[in-house]
Amino acid sequence: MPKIKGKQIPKKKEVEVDSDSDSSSAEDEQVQEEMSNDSDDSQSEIEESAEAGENDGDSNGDEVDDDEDAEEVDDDEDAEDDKPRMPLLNPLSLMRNKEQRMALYRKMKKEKHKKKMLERRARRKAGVPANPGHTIESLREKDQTDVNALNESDNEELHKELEIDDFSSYFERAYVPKVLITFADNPVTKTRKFGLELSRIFPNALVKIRNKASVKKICQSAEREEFTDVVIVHEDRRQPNGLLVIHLPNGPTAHFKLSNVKLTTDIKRSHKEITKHRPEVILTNFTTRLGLTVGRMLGALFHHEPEFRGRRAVTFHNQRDYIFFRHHRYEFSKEGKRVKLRELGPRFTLKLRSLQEGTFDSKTGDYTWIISNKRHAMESRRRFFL
Amino acid sequence: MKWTTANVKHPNYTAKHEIFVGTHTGSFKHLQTGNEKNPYAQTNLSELSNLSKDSRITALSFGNDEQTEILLGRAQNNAELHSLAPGPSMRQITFNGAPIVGLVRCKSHLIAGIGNGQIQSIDLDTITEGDVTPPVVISTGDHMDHLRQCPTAPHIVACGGKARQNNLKVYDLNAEGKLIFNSKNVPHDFLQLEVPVWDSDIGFLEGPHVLATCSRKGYVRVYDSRKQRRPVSYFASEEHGMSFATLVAQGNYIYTGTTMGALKAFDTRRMKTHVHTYKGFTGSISDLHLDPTGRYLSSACLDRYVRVHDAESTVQLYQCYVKSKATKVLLRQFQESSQEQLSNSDEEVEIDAELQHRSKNKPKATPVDDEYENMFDSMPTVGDSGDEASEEKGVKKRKAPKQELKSKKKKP
Repeated sequence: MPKIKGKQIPKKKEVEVDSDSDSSSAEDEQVQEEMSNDSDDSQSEIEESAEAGENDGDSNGDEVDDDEDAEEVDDDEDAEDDKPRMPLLNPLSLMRNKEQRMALYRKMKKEKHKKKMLERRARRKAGVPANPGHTIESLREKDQTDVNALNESDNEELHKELEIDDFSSYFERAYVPKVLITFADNPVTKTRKFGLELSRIFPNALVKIRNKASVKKICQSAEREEFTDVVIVHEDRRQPNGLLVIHLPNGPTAHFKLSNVKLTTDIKRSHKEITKHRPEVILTNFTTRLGLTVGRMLGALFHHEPEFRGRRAVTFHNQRDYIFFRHHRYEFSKEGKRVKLRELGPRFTLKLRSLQEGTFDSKTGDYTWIISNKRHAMESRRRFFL
Repeated sequence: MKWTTANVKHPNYTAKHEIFVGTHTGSFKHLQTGNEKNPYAQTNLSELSNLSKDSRITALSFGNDEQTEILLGRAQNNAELHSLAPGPSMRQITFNGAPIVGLVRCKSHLIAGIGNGQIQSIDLDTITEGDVTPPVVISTGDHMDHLRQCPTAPHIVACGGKARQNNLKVYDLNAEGKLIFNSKNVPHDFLQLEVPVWDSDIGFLEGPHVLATCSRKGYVRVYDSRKQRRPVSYFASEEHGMSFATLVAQGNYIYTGTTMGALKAFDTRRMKTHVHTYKGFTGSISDLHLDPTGRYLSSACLDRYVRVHDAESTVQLYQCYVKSKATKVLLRQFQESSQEQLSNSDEEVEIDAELQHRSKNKPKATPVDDEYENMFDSMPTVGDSGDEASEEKGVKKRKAPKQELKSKKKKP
């Protein structure tokens, strides 16, 4: 991964957090591409990495960003054509004299570029923003369960449910969350370190070695010791690969696939930079009803009152059902217009595997959401569940 | 049909149905699938503002054959009687215990199965609003998952729950809650270990004698109370994730849904594997209901959708997002419930009754010879008399060894 620099974002205070997540999303994209090549075709991968590369190269502002966008638009328009597509025959390619052909070809390219530049200049003068074009996100299938219109009177029932669901007491600030972090049996060093780093992120967390206890027993004893959540890190082939989050006393239980774990040391930071202040939590892009539940669940792991003095922020950013976790320290410039970010680590990606009613009971418990065995039938490139 | 999260209705689904949905939050909804304008429009039949954490709906059933009364039980100790026929009305009855997992109406009595393993009975005629007469209690065990009523003999109820002592039991309410059938587990497995029991749901197949149960431990069993205490045939799954939560049975078919969102149909004549799989679920199936004709299979799912499938062709006919986790569902033929259409509704009720009648007498396809029928009617019935238990014992003693051998053979 490229080195992380404190990016300078010319935006106001309120929007600052959002813009930050945007800027880091480029990196996220890249992470995701690396992780799941199956979900995206090679073309978009190239686009993404090109985009990321340009981002790294430039630091002088909006112009270059616009260029990228414009290019993207062209690509997409080629791809998204409704008419039956015939192979385009360039008349030049029938020319037999190579030198002349090359010369003409170069000329044609140049003219094309010129035309494009003229158009762009005209557009900028008119002050029309660039067409953002199609992305997988913008072409996303409409979801019936979308909760964006949360304030409508139609959503009376949703409000009622949020008032009486399992997390309502957290959002009423009835208790202070206390998290127990544990592992699979005999965790390797990386998994242990990861657990330790999680405990630096969740305020009021305790790391314990599992000692071959069953999850159901862990839940019982954790409830007795007045823990409100249990987080279990699973591993496979010496890599942490699963995260089980159990909300106590009566569920739900979420199982996440865990990937791309980068410890603080992996991104060349020191844990000494991380202060003990309670962080702010940013949950972005959880749009569906299921996403709302998962977002609430992740939010409920943290203390409800952040200590702004510590200037720590943790982000759970959902993009195409992958939840990216980042941990930053921010600093405002003196005028309060710009903000500097420094990533503290760790960094990881989650993907929801199942959500279960009640505490952990994988055999006989009721699943609110699970699509195992029929993933190919349910999943599509443009359908997202969170 | 392609899988989607949207509300969809199959163009071939022209039957006009009404669906009643009970949800996890406690809201009680009414959907009309036949509505031309918006087949997904939902009306709440209970007040949303009164809901609390334990107002989850845990029992929902029709109170009478005309399907004009709905019995509704919650995770708290009161049941509700919703009358639909001449304009909606509601009556509350309080039991001692929660949650109410099954509600049954037997003449003037309201019978509730409580989660702690009790069957409680209250006489609706004598009880008045605010009265706290203690109900008549029958203790069945220490846990109950479901209580179901026999559709042909309404005084017969069956219940089952988790663990061995809460196995399938059948009670006769006319005979003061006499235990008329107590099921027996299958023989120990090849390691001589007890097979775990959890009868999570029950269905009456035909008459009060043939029952089917499903289990969260992964089996579906068919019992015949006239033959033996052990199941006459069963399906057992070694596969992970076959944890059956709910069941509905009719004719020769058993429909059962799992906690991981698989809905399967079994044929009682051949229980080796399932015969149909119904698709479209992303969460645990919490309840199933079949219409009297046996064609439309409605299902409530914890992924917040209510679906209707064609039971024979397995096509998904209807899907609707109901905003909160659906726990119970009922489906009936569309009946106008408003005052002005009262006469109309009577007709429809008749049609409904006729339908039920027809479905009951399905095998009678040949033209009826009255004299012949009368002769058969006048004959005494063998093994079907009132004192069921003693008769059954005799039968059991005679047949049990043979049957046991058979079932042993069946074991892999």
